[in-house]
Amino acid sequence: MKTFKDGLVFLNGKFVKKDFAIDNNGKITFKISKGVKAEDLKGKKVIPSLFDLHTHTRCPGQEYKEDFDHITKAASHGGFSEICAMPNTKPVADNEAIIDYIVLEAEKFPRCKIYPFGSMTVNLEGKKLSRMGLMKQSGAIGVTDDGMCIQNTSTMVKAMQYASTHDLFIMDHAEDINLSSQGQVNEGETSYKMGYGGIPEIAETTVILRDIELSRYLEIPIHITHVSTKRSAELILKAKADGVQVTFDITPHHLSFTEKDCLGFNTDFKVNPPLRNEKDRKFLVDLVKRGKVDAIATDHAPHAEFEKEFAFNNAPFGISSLDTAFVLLYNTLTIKAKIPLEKWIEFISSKPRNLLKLPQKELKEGVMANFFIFDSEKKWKINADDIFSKGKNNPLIGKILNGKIINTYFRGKKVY
Amino acid sequence: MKKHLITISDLSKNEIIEIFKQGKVFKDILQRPIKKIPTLRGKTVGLLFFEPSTRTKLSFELAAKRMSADTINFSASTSSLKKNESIKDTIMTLEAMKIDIYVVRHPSPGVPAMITKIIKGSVINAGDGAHAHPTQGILDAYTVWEKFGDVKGLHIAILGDVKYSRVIRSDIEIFLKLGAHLTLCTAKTLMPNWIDPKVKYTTNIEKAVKDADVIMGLRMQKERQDSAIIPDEIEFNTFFGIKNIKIANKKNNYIVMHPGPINRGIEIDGDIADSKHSVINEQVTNGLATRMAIFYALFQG
Ligand SMILES: [Zn+2]
Repeated sequence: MKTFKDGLVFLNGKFVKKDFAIDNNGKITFKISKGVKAEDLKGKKVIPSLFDLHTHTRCPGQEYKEDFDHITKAASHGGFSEICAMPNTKPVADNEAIIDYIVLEAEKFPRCKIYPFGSMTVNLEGKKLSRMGLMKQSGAIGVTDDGMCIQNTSTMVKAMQYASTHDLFIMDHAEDINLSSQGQVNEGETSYKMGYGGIPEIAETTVILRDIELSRYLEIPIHITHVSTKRSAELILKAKADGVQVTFDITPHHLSFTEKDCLGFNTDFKVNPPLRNEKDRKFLVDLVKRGKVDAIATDHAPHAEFEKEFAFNNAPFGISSLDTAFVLLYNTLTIKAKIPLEKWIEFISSKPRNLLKLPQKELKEGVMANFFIFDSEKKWKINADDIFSKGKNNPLIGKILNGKIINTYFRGKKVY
Repeated sequence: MKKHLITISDLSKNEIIEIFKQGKVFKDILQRPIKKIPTLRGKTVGLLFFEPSTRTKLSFELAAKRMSADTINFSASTSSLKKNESIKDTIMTLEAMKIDIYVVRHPSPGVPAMITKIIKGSVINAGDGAHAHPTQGILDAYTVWEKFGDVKGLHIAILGDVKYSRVIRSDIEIFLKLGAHLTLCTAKTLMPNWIDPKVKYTTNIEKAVKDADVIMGLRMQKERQDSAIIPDEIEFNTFFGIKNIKIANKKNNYIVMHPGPINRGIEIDGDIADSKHSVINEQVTNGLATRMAIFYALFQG
């Protein structure tokens, strides 16, 4: 039995001062005997663990960028109890053997649960369908060709129909590769000033429009991941209002940074979809404020140290964001945009779990203890050592942020 | 002057004018029988050209030699810089040679700026992709300044491949800084998605050149017609080429410029390139004189 006192516990959407304990079975209990030794959590928040819908775990095959040991450490450090592994591994997670491997390997590191996604097409080539049914039997929770958006609409129709046959969650990274492939940053003032090709907004919106039409016509739900522009979000909201079963998520970096951050050629800000302009960022933050988003997902994309030292156009896309996603959101949404933590926490916990029809993590009597302790008052400077992910491509290194995760408990055990 | 010259924004208006004045002095020296001056004696200039560029490289090399500097050449083939090579690793091996000024040309925008963070000496950007080519901007503006005495209030028309040009960004920046009026004229497929709001844009060449004191052509890359950007060279030349029949310019002292090498019959017709209005060959001499002036300014601090 481990007892905690005076913490602000997140219960039914509110922070309330309450004492609690983890019993010998790793379960939460509020029945505590008086006078026992307890950890003092005065002023600190106790929050049910987070859920990430979009994590590039890189393994198998790219262990030089990330491995299960590091990714599970980064997840628990970031307050996550569950992460969804993207299928763009080497080899691609396009068959049940790779899914089996991910499930079995991940269990060796019981710091968080990894839910693998399978690809929709073989080798992410957008041609032949992956064995989606067999992957589901092995534990795949959804399917996506993230990073290699299916370009052929006819193939996309069949991939959606087949995924839906097996009742799999479909997630699309909406990108018209013919429009985006020459680009490094958002098209506009920044691409002009940097002298790089631009990735236009229409590379995203034209595919979102396609996906909306397919979803409407086929009556199959679709989830659009990492929506980056105002226009994209508006199209989706309009489709929702028309009754189309389309949902979407936004990343912490698109909520926090803009294309201007790329002007210094810092490759840590090079992401796909690219950071857009302030008008887009503000609109997305406002959507969170109005409760209009379905999820916030990290798109954690770790890369090796040497890959950051390439010229900007040769450096890979992605931010290693799992460690700091929650703290960054706290700074962006709560401190700057004045959205209370209680209002947005669901977008990175209960809402994505609902999308995938997974059980919730709550602080309730008798349920397994999955939570983290957050000191919202602490100001700290992030060093490279504070990033537990193998990928140090995180633009927050060297920056001072408000709020720090103190400890994380997973299945009743302290994992960070 | 700042320690590095990466873009025109590293220079104040006064510093630009100082470079022009010094450039004029050096241009006069270049006419003399003994063209060498001792300013950079004992200094080493490293010429790092990660893509071929005979003209710019020769100009910098000659400028350094005229000022008595030692030069070291690293070309793409000798340095074997590959796509996936760390910029840091490559530069660190050169640092051992105690180079005072790195002159860097690289196909990727941002590489000269990255190098400033690694080395002890100065960096001059000799062109990084379509990002910047500040010494070309300086020599172009110098050419106009020398011809007209001042750049302020002049009308400059720029034609050709704006979107992919490494020269245009530096030219726009320096001419705006010096108070010129700029008009761009090209096909919409050759225009960037964003341009400084002070710059005018037209698809009508007659309008663009009507009041122009300076007509500048930009080099058209041959690949453009293969990637559905323009139909072909003949069509491009018809609508956007600098040609006699299209120029209804009321001024008789207008000049025609081009960063070279020119594609005769594409962005500029031969008779114009060879006419009395053309200063294309003089731009080369001015390039040498202004690059000497930039070296000079860097060492004056
Ligand atoms: Zn993606």
